[in-house]
Amino acid sequence: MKVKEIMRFMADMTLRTGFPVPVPRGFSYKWAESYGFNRKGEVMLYTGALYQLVPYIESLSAFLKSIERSDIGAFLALRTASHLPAGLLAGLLPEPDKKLVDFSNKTLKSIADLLIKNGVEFSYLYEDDIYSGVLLYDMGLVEEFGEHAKKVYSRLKGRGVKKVITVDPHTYSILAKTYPKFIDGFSLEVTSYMELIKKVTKKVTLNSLTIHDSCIYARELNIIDVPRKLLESAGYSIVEPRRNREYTFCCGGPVEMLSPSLASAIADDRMKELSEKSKNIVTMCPICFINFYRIKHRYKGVEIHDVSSLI
Amino acid sequence: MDLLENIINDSIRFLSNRGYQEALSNAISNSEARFFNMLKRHGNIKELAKEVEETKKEVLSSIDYYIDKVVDSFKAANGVAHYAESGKDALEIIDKIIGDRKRILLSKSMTCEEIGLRKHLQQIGKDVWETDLGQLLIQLEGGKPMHATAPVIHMTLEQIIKLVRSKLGMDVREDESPQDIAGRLRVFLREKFIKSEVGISGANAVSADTGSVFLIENEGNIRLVTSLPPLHIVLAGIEKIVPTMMDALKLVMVQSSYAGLFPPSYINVVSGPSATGDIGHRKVYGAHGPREVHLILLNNGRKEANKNVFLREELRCVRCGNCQIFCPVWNHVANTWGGKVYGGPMGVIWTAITEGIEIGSEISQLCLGCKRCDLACPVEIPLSSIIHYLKTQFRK
Ligand code: SF4
Repeated sequence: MKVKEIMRFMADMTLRTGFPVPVPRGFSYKWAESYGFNRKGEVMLYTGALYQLVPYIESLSAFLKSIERSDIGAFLALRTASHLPAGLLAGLLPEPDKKLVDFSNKTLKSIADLLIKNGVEFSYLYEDDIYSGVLLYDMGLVEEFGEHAKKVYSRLKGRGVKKVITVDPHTYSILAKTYPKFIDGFSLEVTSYMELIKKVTKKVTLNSLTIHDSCIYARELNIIDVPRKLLESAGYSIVEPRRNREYTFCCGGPVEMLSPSLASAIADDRMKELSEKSKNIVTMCPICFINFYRIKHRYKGVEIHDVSSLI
Repeated sequence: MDLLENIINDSIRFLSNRGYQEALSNAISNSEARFFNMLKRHGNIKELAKEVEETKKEVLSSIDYYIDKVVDSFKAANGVAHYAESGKDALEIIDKIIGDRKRILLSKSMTCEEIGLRKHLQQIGKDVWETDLGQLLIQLEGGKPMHATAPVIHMTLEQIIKLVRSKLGMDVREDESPQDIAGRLRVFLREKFIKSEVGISGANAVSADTGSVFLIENEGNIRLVTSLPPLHIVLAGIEKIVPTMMDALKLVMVQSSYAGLFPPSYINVVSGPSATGDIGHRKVYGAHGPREVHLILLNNGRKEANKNVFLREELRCVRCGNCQIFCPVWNHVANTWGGKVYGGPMGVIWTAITEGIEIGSEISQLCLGCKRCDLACPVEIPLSSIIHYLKTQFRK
């Protein structure tokens, strides 16, 4: 019952506001305010707001945990709440962790800077940079997902887009592999920013690092060597964890909403084997980042880095 | 409280049991290592697996034809073949075959678990014992097997010692080794073997051309269960059928490899009852082995699943359990993530097949969608896609 209520809530929110959880207005493109990107063009940066959403998903799950012990009425209240204006609703949730908000803004900026320094010309969607709907699809809410995907697709097409640059594995995969099944005549080329970087711009700051392949990059998109080559060309030496490349091990993130203790046990497994190899762990997905970030305090001296911050 | 919440609560209990977590984590890293070693040492297994995949597809595309063929071949080998539409039907058939006989031995079989055989036989007053040591511990514990081939993968030695002490009243010391305990259980079961009247086994494969039942094992208990008692009953899901004896051999090689048990200590092949023509040139049944052998082919949702484009893919599963070893969720909660019997990636789907899509779809929600299971499967079952399909059925 509870699970169905949460799913319903996220689907309603996505269809109504473009995002699966309550968020303040403009949160998805705040990072880009200072850039003044073109708003139209054939090559478009589409973040799908996953990095930006992470702090707010975190707030929602904290909220859910706090009402988990209370009665089912709270979940029904959630259902009613999903009809309130999003801004108002966002105010009901705990303030997002400022460090996390900074992390996502910083990451997106460093990705944009990398692209710019590599001479990649691209435009940005600003207020049309809405969620891809991937969570709805993953939860099996395919009808709602299909409806939302059509909206995203028409916004992209409305701006004359032919090629999309993505910044995380989930958005990449859902666009490249799943959208075509839901949208007649789908015609977008999808790529990752990492695939467009020819020269790295940052200098080595750490001795060694270990790499946590994202499940989706490694097993669905075969993006395995790309981040390694980038890190190596920046001069890093990479120590592979026990389970690596296509055999990489999940961070546990996807079950966080259903069972936080299970998610954290899985994250611990992975953290253990990663931190055995190096105190510096590289992620390339905001979900992996947050899941490790949450338990980081249990591992002395361990730091989690988004790959974009090192190259 | 609904099913999914129950499972989440059970899994939290399982998660907080240190012994379980420790035993699982050790077993899993060993299994993973064994699997990669196996691939290195027996590179040809991958090719065999591909062949098994194809033969299984062939059988599933004409399942009725193959069922008839097995029935004919099994009869030709002087066995008695039955077809059971449901678990309940299978139990009725078994009751009839057993009649008044009382002392019954089981060899580990997930299909027997699926129809609730042991509990049923106990309820009607039979003296029933599991003979696989792991499965015997499950019987003593009163729980369910936690892995497709390693039922007590979650128990530490300490937990096992406690169990044997309290349930069998054996005076086991705390410092006894696994070897000692296996020795004790061996002695305990020895007497049961000698006196047994009925042996019931599952099957890893059944060949349609000869009606032969293939069973692999390391303990040697299956040899005894299928040869000491005068009556042997085999319970096999219809998906266990393969066209030929050679296909069956390939299948058990693949199954044991991916289960991390290659080469298996024993491959048993049963084609009908034991017989001799040595005495007066007349055929006599039951020389040393059973005089009577029955095969029950079980449907229990499989034919229905075979019509579903997603679920049908799971029917070629050889039950190696490798997807469970590969799954991050299963790594922590074992088969508590599952239905009545089956758990983990394969188990979510087998639950949908044998208990219904509604139940399967509810359980499927705990899947991470990380797709690691897809890499584990010898017969390339798209486990993660099937589980995703089940998720789409959740609200229906
Ligand atoms: S689904 Fe594949 S990996 Fe899992 S138990 Fe069956 S055959 Fe083995």
